[in-house]
Amino acid sequence: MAHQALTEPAFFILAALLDEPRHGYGIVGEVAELSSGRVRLKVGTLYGVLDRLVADRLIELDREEVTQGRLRRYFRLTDDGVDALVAETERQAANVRAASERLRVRRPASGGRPATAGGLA
Amino acid sequence: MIEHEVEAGWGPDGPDAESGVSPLEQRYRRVLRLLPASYRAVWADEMVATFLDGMLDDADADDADGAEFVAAYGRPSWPEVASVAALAARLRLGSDGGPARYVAWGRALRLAALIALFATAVGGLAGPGLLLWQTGRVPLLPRPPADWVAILSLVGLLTWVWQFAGLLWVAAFVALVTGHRRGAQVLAPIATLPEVAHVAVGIWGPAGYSGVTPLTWYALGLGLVTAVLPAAFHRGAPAVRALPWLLALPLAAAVVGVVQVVSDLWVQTGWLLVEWPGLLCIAFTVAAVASLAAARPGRTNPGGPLSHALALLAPLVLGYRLVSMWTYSVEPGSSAFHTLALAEAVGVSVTGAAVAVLAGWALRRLPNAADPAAWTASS
Repeated sequence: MAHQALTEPAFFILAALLDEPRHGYGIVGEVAELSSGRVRLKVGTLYGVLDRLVADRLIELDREEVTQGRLRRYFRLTDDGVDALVAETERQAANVRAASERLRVRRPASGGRPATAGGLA
Repeated sequence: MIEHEVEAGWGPDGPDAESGVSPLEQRYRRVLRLLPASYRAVWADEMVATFLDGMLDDADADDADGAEFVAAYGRPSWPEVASVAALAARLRLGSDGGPARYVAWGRALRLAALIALFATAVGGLAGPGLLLWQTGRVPLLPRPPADWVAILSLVGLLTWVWQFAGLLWVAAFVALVTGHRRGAQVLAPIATLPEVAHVAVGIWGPAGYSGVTPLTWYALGLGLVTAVLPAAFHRGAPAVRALPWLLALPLAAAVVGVVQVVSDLWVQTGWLLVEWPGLLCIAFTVAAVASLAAARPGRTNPGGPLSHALALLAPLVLGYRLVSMWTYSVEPGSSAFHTLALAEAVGVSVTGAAVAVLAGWALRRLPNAADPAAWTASS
């Protein structure tokens, strides 16, 4: 099954659900940790993405719990969600490989300056 | 993560001041009222819990009393409010998997946006063509009256720039139908700038300039509405089938040009029998009659998206006709023009009312709540 490229929030939300089902704030915290604090999901963004991921059957509701009078919904990855995450990871890894190869050409292992035609170095 | 003390006992539609709900929660629930009621019924409590957890956790990191302070005096940040507003817009514009009524509404709005942009692009393409013909620069067509050529040859550079600036609308339309929605969302507002400049010159320009009429204001308003409509094409919106629209654009511009040329040659009294608002009225009436004729009574949505889109466009077209009639009525004109314009207004009113009734009836029959099966735990 071909997967569309995932947005960054969707990618991190799927990654956050890999090890166990999580509720909304659990996902926010895990995404912040996975991204080293770079991606801090706003609540409207989080539920907009969850909405889409459920519609695309990449995640599903795991269970509902009431804690301190609050309803918490736990989400888990589906098999399609795992496939989408694998596909996206491979796509990003391929991008990184391609860019790394170009960088190696530009910046040789010796640490020398880029070789430019007619340069002074 | 902390678990804060709050009492349950409020409904999905809003806070209850007597239930011990914190002011912060009340404020956030007010923001959530931007969301459709059906969505709030499913998600409001969960979103509130997530929001409060985040706010109160952040406060605890700095100060032991911070949680209480934040609960009493904290407010949702602008980015939080913006994220809820963006979610509300996406839900109401028919995201995939959303309630059927919102999906139908989103489709109608996008089709209305496409039709409005199409009509504006047709005008933007026909305008320069007509000016070229009227100034005797199109060799293959019949020559315009010599006195017209003489008069119009005197038009200044500004008129040429003004007419050719209409091509910006063509660029915005082509960008939208070929999937460059960001390009369309940028180009369409830029295309309104000549109209803005026209009004600005009329207000602040040289004394005695009389180019700004109620019709100019209406055209500006219409342009601004058309300019923001491409925003209805959000990231999740389905792609437009480009080819039919791209073929229709030059065809419609050619029809407009021919009608205008014939009308100009035929009516030499100084009044054009069929002008731009009149053409829009005729096109609208034909489309509405076709939509009504094609309606299938047995279907959930008998008129389809076209009837919904036309219902949205009807007030704009009718307003254009009435304002232009009123603007022209202060100048001497032929009674044939006024009779025809009145008939066009009646045509739009009657057919517009009919498609609006059909669309309203269909929308009320569609469910406005999300499919509960999508939100049910599968185990």
